[in-house]
Amino acid sequence: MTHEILRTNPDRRGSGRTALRLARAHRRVLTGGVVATTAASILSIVGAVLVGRLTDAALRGDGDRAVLLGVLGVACAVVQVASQGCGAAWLARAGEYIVRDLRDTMAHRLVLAPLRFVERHRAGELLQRGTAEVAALSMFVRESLSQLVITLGTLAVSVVVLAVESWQLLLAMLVAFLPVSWLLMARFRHGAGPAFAAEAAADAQVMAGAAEIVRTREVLWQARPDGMRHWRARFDAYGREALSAQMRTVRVSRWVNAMSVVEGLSLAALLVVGARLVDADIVSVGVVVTFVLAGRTMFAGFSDLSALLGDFEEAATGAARAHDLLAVTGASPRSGAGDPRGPAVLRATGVRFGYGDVMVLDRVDLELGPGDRVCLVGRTGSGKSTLAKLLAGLYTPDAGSVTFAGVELSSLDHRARARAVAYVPQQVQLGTGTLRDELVLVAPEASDAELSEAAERLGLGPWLSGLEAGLDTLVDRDLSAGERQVVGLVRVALLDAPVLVLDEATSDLDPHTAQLVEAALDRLAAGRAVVVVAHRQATVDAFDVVYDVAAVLRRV
Amino acid sequence: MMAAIARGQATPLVVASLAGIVRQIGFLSVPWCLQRAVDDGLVAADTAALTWWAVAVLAACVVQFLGMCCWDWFANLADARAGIVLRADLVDQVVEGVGEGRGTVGAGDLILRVGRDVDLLRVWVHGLPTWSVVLTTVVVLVPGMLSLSPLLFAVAAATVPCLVVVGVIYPRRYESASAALAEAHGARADHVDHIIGSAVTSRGIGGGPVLVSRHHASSAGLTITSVRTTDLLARWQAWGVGVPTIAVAVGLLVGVTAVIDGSLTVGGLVAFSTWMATIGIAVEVALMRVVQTLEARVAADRLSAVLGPDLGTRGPEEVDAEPVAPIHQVEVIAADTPHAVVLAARVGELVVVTGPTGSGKSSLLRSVAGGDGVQAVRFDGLPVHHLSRRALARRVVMVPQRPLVLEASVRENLSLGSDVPDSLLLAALADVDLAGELDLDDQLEGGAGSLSGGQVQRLALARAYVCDPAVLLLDDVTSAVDETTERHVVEGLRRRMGHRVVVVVSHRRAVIEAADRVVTMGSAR
Repeated sequence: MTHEILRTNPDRRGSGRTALRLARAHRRVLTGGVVATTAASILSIVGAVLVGRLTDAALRGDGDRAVLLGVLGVACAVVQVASQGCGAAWLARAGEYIVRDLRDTMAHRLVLAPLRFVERHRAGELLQRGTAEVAALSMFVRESLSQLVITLGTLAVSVVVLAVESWQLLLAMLVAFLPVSWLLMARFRHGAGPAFAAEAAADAQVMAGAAEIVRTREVLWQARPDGMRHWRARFDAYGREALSAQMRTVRVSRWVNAMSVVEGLSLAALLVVGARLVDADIVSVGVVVTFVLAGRTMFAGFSDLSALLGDFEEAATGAARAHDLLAVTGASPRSGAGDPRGPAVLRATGVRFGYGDVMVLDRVDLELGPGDRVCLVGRTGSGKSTLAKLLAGLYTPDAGSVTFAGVELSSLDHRARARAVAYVPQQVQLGTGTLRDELVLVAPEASDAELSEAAERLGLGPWLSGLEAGLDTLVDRDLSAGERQVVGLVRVALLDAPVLVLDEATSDLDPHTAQLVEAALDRLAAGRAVVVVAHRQATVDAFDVVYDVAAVLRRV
Repeated sequence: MMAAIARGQATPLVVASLAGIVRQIGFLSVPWCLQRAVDDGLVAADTAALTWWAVAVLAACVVQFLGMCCWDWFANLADARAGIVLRADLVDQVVEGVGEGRGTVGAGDLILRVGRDVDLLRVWVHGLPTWSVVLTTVVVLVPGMLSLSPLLFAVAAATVPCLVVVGVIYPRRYESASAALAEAHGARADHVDHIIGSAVTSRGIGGGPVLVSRHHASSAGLTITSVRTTDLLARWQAWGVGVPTIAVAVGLLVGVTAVIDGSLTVGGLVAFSTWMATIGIAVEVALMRVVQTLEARVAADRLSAVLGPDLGTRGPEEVDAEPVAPIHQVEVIAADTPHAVVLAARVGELVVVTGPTGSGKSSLLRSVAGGDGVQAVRFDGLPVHHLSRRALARRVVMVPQRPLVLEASVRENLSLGSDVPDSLLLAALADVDLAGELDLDDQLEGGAGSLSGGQVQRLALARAYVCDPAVLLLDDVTSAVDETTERHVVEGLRRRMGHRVVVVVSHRRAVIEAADRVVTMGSAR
């Protein structure tokens, strides 16, 4: 599971089942929509039948009956329009709810996904799947879905009604129409899957490229003109690939356009056979007229269907990619709060971990009881930060185990694990909200007084009251890099976990504030276990137990 | 802006329009052939005439197919090329740094604009040839209907004002709903961006559930806006389709009396019925294109906010053409007192700025690098604020505390795409003590990636050395580096001092000891 990545052209089978499962939750609105649109479809065919009868009445000279049929036709039309309007609205609404459930689930999964999964993908790719592709699904639902249902309904009803009118004519029409159109659609479907997937992948690559440029723009400003040309050329290449991928889908769509030729063939067949039947007095002219009109509706439906199927193909590809994200991130169920019975000891046994083919840590054993303080050292790149993340349960070891109070850390859900072992990274990533928003991530119910009290427990009360806007300070704009570390530490204080793992957390502060925080950490560390990944000799000197990660590797 | 986009794709759009006209003529002649087939063939029981007209129907359909293929091809070509041009322009603007300071757009929202908003404009471009098809329909149907019966023409004509009324009421309401929808999508995208961007930090503190509930709140708001927009669209389309449908029924009622009188044939009724369906389709298509034009206008406004009102040309190269003169002195003036020099740094002198957290060291560097412009900056006595971001970036390189890694090879990360000899790159790596750890051909991941914090900082410093700027600003670049390596880095820095102004923010002992001059900033703001 740790080695799975998102696929560019994923299998579609699972997404249908997921769609049905999501749809079940909104079946009332969905059913209402389907019923209303089916009613509209029935009425549209009934209208064609009425025209046929009307024609016959007119030819016979039966004026009264003809007028009556005409009035009936108008009533039919009115009800059909109302029914279609409501049906389309309900269907689109149901679709919107389903898309909402889908994107909420995706966001949830992105939060729960293992850290290695997120690190293994470009942020732009994940962002694209989670936002733009889901937005495209929403647009499909809004514009095409109800049309699709209406069209399918109309076709089904047409076949039934026309069979009742004259099975011979229907047979003639279907024989002329079905085999060739089936062939055309088969050729289309054969080429469509890969073509649309390639188009989606090429578009995603363009977007990922753009996202990368936006992300790194401050660095790119430093580039010289020939460097700029290099990056532009790379982006332009993505654009060209996207263009040829799109033109490939156009070529595939030609099979769909050819349906109009088949339509002409069927109409011609209809006329010729109809004339024979009229001559033989088997059917009236009116029936042939009904078939011509209904036939046109059917053909228009088929070509709408073809265009809609194109939209549907794109949407199915998008749905498959969304489902792929859900499938890949849903694979490991976490049992929940766990049942820590043992003593509050963090134990790493025989831990082995590597990135791809590169082994970073091998047979690492470590034990931390309450009150233990361990410092991890080693030259840059020796795996200190990796070991820290393993001890915090953010990575799952390739072999061996990391347990706390007897419970495997990787089996706990995120909240329970953070309440057992809290982790603060080297770079504390904050959002764009206020300080209160950031602190409340840990304790949603905490009051302002509780937040201030947590800061004071660390000795950071003066700092907090020194902020101009207090808890309303915008973290993105008004806090310096050192202060962001401070925010990270206050959150840990709120969390109150028995084990703390800190990765160079104090290295971004100037000596004065670093001393403040160290004193506060001392207060927090009472009765708790602390692991610090340090670079500065001063930090290392303050610890009794020093664990050299590089030495572990060298040990055979 | 939309006119410029359309002009840019004139050729394929014109060809597509012509092909569309051909297709529509084929499409519209089918009912007329049917009419003749019914009247001359069926009713008159003339087999030869019937066969002739049946073949005519088939021929019209073939013409329709050929026109359609050509239309599809060129319309797609036009929209794909328009997309490429727009995205290239957007990327150019981002890379040129022209749009900075035009107002804050979150990264997630900016990407959505490059994605969703460009797509909306592409859809609009794709739909432009359709107008010629609609026009053809009108041109063919008006005389066609008149030739059937003036009464039926009147019924058909009456549908048009009804549709126009619908077309006036709804679009404006739809446009504002669509703009609100775009905002809601952008807000939600920012939440997803936060979830992905803070992956490590939020897992470390178990902050996931709150992030999820915040996302879900945004998503719920998005759904409400979306449903409102959808309902509006459904009602609009129902009227748009409903009016012709009801008109057909009314027309048939009117027509049947004409048939009984003998002033209209049965074939005429069939033709009327079929053509009315076409009017319905034409109106529906025109409405859809209007909707797409409105959505495109919203998108164009959102893009103009980033691009400026016109489609920019490919970057003014004048900035890059002029050689960068060496700078001898950099001065930073305090914001409130215009003559108080907060910092003065000279060529060849290593200035280290230190002080407690929050004393404004980083914002000092940002002022020189052109970020916030809070404090006024002078290079050799001349103020700096008139220079563009790009021009400034050519002279001043700032290595931040958390530098960015490009998703490319180490070579590209160092040379930023320029053609720099490997020997210079290796020399830069040696000066930051990375020569043994990284190969020039190693591929790096963007974001958190496979490099440690210290390696990223040193890579960014090496990149600055390769760039060789006149002013070098370093924000605590040895904060994640162990002390042995730090010593090598500081030695490398002193070697590279030469002909530039260097200002370093640090509180590390090794750096302060190596300084020519130390400036201590005051305590809290």
